Amino acid sequence: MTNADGPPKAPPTPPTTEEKAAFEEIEWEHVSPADRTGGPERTVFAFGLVLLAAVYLYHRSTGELYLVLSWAVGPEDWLLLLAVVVGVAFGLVPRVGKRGRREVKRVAQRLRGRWLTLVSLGVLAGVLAIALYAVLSGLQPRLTMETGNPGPDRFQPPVGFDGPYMSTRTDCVGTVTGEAVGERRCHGTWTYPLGTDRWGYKMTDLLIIGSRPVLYATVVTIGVIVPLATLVGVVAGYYGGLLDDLLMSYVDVQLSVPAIVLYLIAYLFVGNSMFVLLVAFGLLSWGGIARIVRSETLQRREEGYVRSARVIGASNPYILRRHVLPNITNSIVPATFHLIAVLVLTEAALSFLGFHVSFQSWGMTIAEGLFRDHPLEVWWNSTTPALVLMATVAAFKLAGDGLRDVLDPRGDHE
Amino acid sequence: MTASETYSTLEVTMSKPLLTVENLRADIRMPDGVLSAVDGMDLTVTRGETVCLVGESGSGKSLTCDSITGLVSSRKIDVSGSVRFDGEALLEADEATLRTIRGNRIAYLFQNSHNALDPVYSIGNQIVEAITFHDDDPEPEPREQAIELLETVGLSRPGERVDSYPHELSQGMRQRVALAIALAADPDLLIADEPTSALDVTIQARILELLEQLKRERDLTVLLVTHDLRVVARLADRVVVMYAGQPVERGPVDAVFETPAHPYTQALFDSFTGTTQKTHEQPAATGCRFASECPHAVDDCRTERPAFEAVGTDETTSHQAACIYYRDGRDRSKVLERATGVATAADSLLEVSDGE
Amino acid sequence: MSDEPLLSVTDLEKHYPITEGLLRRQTGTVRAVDGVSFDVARGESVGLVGESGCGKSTTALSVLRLEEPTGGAVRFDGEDVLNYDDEELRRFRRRAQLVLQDPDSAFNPRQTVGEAIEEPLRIHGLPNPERRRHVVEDTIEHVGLPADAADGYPHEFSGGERQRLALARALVLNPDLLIADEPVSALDGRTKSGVLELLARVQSRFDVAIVLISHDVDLVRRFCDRVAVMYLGRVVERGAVEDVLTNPAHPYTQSLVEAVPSLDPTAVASSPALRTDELPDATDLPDGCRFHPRCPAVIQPEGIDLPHEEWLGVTALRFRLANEWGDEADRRELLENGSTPSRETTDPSFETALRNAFDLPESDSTAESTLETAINALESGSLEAARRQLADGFASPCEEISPAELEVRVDGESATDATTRLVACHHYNDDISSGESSAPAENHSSK
Repeated sequence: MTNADGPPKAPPTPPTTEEKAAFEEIEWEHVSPADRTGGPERTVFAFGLVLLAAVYLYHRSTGELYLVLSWAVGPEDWLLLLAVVVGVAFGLVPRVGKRGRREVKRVAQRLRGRWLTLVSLGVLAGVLAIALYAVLSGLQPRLTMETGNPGPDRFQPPVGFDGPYMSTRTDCVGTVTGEAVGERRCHGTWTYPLGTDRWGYKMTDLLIIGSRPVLYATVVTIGVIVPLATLVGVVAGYYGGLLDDLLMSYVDVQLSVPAIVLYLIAYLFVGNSMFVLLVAFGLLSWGGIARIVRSETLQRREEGYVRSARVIGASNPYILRRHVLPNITNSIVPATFHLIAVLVLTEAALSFLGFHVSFQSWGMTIAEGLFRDHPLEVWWNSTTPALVLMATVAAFKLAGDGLRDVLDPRGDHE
Repeated sequence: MTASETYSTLEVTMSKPLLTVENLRADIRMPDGVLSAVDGMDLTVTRGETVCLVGESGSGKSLTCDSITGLVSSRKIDVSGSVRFDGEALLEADEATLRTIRGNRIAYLFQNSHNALDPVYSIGNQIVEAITFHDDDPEPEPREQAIELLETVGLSRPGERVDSYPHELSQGMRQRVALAIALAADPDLLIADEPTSALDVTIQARILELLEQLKRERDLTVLLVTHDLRVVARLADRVVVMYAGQPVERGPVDAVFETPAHPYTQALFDSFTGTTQKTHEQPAATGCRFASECPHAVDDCRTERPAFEAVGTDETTSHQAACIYYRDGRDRSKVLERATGVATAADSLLEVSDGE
Repeated sequence: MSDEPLLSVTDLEKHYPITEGLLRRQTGTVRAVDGVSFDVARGESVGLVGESGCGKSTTALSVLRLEEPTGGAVRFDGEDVLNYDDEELRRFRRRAQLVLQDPDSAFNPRQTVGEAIEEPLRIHGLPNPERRRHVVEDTIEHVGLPADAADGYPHEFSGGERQRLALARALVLNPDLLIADEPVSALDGRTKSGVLELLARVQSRFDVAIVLISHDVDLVRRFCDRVAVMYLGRVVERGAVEDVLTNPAHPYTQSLVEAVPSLDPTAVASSPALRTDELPDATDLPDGCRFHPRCPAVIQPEGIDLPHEEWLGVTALRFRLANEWGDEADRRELLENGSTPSRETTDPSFETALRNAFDLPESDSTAESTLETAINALESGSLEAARRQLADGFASPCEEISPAELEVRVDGESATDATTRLVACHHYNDDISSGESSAPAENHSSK
């Protein structure tokens, strides 16, 4: 070989001693191969399922309305609990180990200074916490009767604003200004910080109750829809062949069924609930994510590190979990948050149109505030839920893009 | 060396350079400071000659070309200095002027012809586009011209192939088509950025052959960018060696290949013939950037940036190196001792006859 | 050390079916690797050289069973790799490693390189994390990087450093065989040279056998002890590097070596004398010798003995008729600028023009009558008849019989330098090439 003779300068790390010449000998015959593919996750998942089934049977046998606190459980709540089990098993458990904790620490570090992502996540955490409270407490809006008038206090404006004073139909809790009958203004008070609506419900109560669909959409998307889509996409993309053809043909068929038609049919025959909405729009819309995941997997499958992992004898489930999945989060995370936002908006739209998917959700409240005479005079009845809805949806989109960047050690995508 | 003599006479006859680059700088603004990716680049290209920018990846050779033609799009890069193309100051020119010059007078040939061709248009379509962009009223018909160009670049059955799509062509044919597009505007200057690096060896030989033939027949002026010294040897008339954004050696190809003068050029040659490797040192921030890796570096190297000095004893020679060892009064023998260079064909003939 | 080679590949085949429709009906076959044989001794480096699409990477993947071969045998250390059960395959995965070309995709961007290098140890069950870390740091230092590089993410390293780290990952299990698929093709200059030197150092120090897959003849020349030249799924020539690459016997190897440009600016440019640069369709490979459509030294059939130039003219015409006769305009073009401008055309007849364009002979009587008939058929517009005529009259043994690997003695500078190697070319088979005047390499004799 030509390059054996005299190098022009010393290599950067010349071999110091001869014993460095060979690597540490490892007695391979004495070590047992351990190609763990998510042992604890699966155990927790199985345990969670059994527990869920037990709770379900117990709850049915007692015939109670409430599960815990004042939580009246319906089918959508069981779906929610299933999603929680999946989320805990495959989302939380892997973060408990040493590597998981390091990863969490790294993500937390990268979150620093990204105030837009932080604010979005903060908004979402707030909304979800409020929604959880609303669900568990079975909160109902209370009629307001502060003024001592017969009947509730309707159309009270928010603090710092004023609205038309309509003595014939309502009274004003705060001060009234203006002389002429038609020009009198009612001023808002801290009794009803965000005002009240046409029935005399507090807007604060309505906004809290209206957040419940966000919780269902988020947890069911993250815990059921996306895992399903990811599983199908990864399996189809990685194993290919007939399995791929069959799965993707099914996805195509599913994608060609219009969710709204299915929803309307279910509305007629089954009735109306968050469960129907989640099934019709959520479980029918995972095909898109599955397709994205599949095409990403097809690309990742050819990457050098996947090939290298196969050469060192890693099993397929291990490769999928360690090498393929983490590298498709760039697509999954934004798609997930987008889907949640779409589901929240769909619920709002249907409720707005009068389907009242989740009673007194934001969409329904907006409609209540708008579909009356002079809607602009009592703007707070429609504008506040609209603003909250908008902020939530925007937070989902921003958090999705922000999290994608945070999760990727390579950094920003701009 | 006869070739370098011919070269210097040529330089007299071709007095007016087509492209003159003086003190070109491209500074990339980073979060933690400024990186001078191109630092004080001087370059002259006269009509009909092929000048080669040679250096390793990251030496700033491609960025130099992009800066010359105003293709630097990142807002994080500041370009300064002087670039004159046939009398026109390019760095000060507005985008419309630059576009006209790029379309009509300076053509680009990229490394990856697969990306350079648009997969949804036929190759004839793409050549016609290049022709009509350059000439509003082309004569003869642009399609005829396209077929002619395809023939010029050595594509067989051009009349039939003109309607084929990029994916229907082989790697070598696509690079020929990319060259036809580059030639469509009948440019004054062709910038070829690693034109053969992605190609298989037999295809590479063909494209080199073609470029050589075009140089000869069309009197093409080429600014060639490559890391492959063998491509340089085959095509270049003059060479500029770049290291970390700075030119370190320049001169006629024969002279540089016979006596690589700068320690970096020597290391580059060693990497093709024997053993040399990049140390993990970062290029030095001040003085000669190669000082941190250079086996001959002395303290002066780290403090002041060396100017170009003639390598030969004859002051008129255009073979220069930016190394303080070539300053007057310095002993250059220590550096030149390592200048193995390449045994030229003439030398090896001599060796053989000596041996017998 | 036993006499048996560490790795012995015999008649390896990897055919991919081309399927259509949901029922996956097979409509064709891509013969990516089609009867490849080579041996690798312990601690030796063998080059697999060839152009893209020749099947060298597929060979590597098939040998490592990352793709399941469809035929042939792979023996590793005396064992049959293709019949390994799961446990044996797991052991094989410890002993045979792969380094890939692209440093950008070699590492999972979500893992630190330390985690990536540690992965083989973890998968093969080394339970103690401190010990794993120790081995990882040791290995990283061996490839010339500081031990704390283990905590960095792949994107923080340059291409050359990443390739060193990829080498570290391949070496961490202390393998006996390393297959390096274009390990330095993405690098240039001193970075390339540095990684290559590291590979050489690693090889000599750890006594690991290396199969270097590359399209770069110079690289193989610098690094390898022996070489196998591949063309379209087959090995056409193999032997010691200094023999094969300085004095190539197979016409394809000759073209490959000629195609490498010289580092000497004053050298006369050489260029491969291939008849066409187009590779045949992978789903429809030529019969006989796969190189024959491009081969500048196709053997003349028995009974025909034309001068080399003229014979090439005849084959060029046949090739043109068979593949790309083209439309009217192309033909006119072809006849107008005939390839031999020296011969002034005064007679504008089709026949003369064609003869000029293809440099066709007028001397040999057997050839002449066939040619005459074919040209007349062509002139009267019967392309098919002309094709048949030429095919009957000028069918070369190269396009009919697939050449077997023959042991060939090639003379060196002096008689004692003579070396033997395996070449798959009819020129070295006296039964087929008897009387052939234009042998590709003059200084050979078959044994």
